[in-house]
Amino acid sequence: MLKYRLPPLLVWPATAFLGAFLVYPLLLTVAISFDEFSALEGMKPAFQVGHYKTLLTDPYYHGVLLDTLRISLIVTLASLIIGYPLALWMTRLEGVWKAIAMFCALAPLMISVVIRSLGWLVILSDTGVINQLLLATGIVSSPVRLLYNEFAVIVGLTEALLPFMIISLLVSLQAIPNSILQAASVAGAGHWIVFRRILLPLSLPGIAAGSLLVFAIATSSFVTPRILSGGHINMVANVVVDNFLVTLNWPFGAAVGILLLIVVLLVFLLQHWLTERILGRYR
Amino acid sequence: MRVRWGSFWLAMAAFAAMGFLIAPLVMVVAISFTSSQLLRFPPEGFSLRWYYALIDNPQFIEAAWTSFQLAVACSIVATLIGTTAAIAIYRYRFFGRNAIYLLLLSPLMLPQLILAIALLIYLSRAGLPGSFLSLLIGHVLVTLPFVVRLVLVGLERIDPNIERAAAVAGATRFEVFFRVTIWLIFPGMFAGAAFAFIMSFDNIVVSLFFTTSRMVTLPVEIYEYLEYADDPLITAVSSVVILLIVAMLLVIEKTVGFTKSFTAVEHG
Repeated sequence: MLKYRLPPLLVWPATAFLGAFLVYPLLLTVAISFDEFSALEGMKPAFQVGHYKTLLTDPYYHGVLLDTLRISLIVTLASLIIGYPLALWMTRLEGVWKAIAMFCALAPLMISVVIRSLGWLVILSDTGVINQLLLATGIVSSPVRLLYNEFAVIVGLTEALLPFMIISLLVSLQAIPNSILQAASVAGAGHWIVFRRILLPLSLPGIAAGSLLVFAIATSSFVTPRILSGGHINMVANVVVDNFLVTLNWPFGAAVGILLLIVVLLVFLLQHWLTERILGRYR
Repeated sequence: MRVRWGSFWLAMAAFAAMGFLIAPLVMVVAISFTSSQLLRFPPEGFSLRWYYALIDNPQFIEAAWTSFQLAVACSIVATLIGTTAAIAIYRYRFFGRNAIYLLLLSPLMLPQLILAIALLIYLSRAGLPGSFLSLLIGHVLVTLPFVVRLVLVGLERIDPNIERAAAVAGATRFEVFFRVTIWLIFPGMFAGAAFAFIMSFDNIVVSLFFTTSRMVTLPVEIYEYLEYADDPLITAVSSVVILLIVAMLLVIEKTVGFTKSFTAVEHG
């Protein structure tokens, strides 16, 4: 193998592309987030932290931040609870069945969230399947409001991000040798003990990785929240989009975006640190 | 012998989770065959009226054509620069190699929304707001890491003895690459190109910032249609997209393994 000091020509196109369209634009975004903005004059170069201050002190944005945090946490927890049994079950399948189950669990990820939200719009509406069922069984006498509220956003986001959780869980569950489970079972451990003492601790890295991944993507979602809340709930990412496409206050939008970026990067750092720690303890 | 414990309840919970994942897609496809005007399940009767309506709808057809061209272009560009970069990262040791590798994969970790607004700020300053080219740049940005990862996975699986054999048999380095190596990494390239196509074809986050009234991609058109109308036409167009993507995923699964590839990208 040849040893080059300088990056070989082959890597230049992609590197230049990312330098021009990722690194430089991100730096520009940081710069713009300090600019002044007025509705009449538009953007004016400046260096002031007003946008960040507004974001962190204004009660409205406090509400948005708290909503985002709460919704993302619930979505993370829900996808963990729904995803864990599925991932565990998939590790017990073999051959074709496993391939089919994996395909069904991961394929939805490749279909646009717009289309999946449309499906939830139909399921959760006043005349939707769930309300039809509730009415027919006499549990309720008039349709329950399931749509255009936080519940709908949580359901939609959980479904959208579930495959990410499943991948993370599968990777760590599959790494557990079957012989350990057999040994435990031979030694007389019941299902609960096997789960509590073997599966859970050994899959902790997967749980951490999946949870942080889902959390990070949930905090930066705006399409599903917009469609399923009918615009009633603004998450942080919705504020970014509205500032860029509607009110055109780019400096403020950029500030919100940078804050979001910092949160996501912190989450990934936390994931790295946690995984190392957990793995270290059981190594 | 597999260990069996609580198999029944575990299977039930797993089926429920699977149902939860697939329910919205099933709903959309089922309703697209309704004969009524309403977005309601169960569909009334069976008809193809909304598919006929779709063929007569120039907006959706045009948006689909735009999305298709964009996805093809994105797939070609991302595969070209992604494959070359992956080969360089795998074959050579050079200054800044780790930093460049991290940079190549970074679009996977950063939220697409942030990439989109940063690019919007930059491109509008450079005098290139919404256009086919700006859409293409945005889509290549988010699909590039997939190509890089998948080609790298392919490279790591190559048995170096095959290339050595070619060299021993008298092939020049150039010949070894173009007549041997390229065929060995072809599955990875193919998977990368296919992923890039699909992810571009149904991208909404980046597209939303670069579409104009004359240049709209299909997911954006569907998103905007949802804002002001709700008839089953939208389920018909969505069903066509679902069918197309599932068909492509099946081809990827049969040839290079979709679930394997995807897991490789997300957990490198």
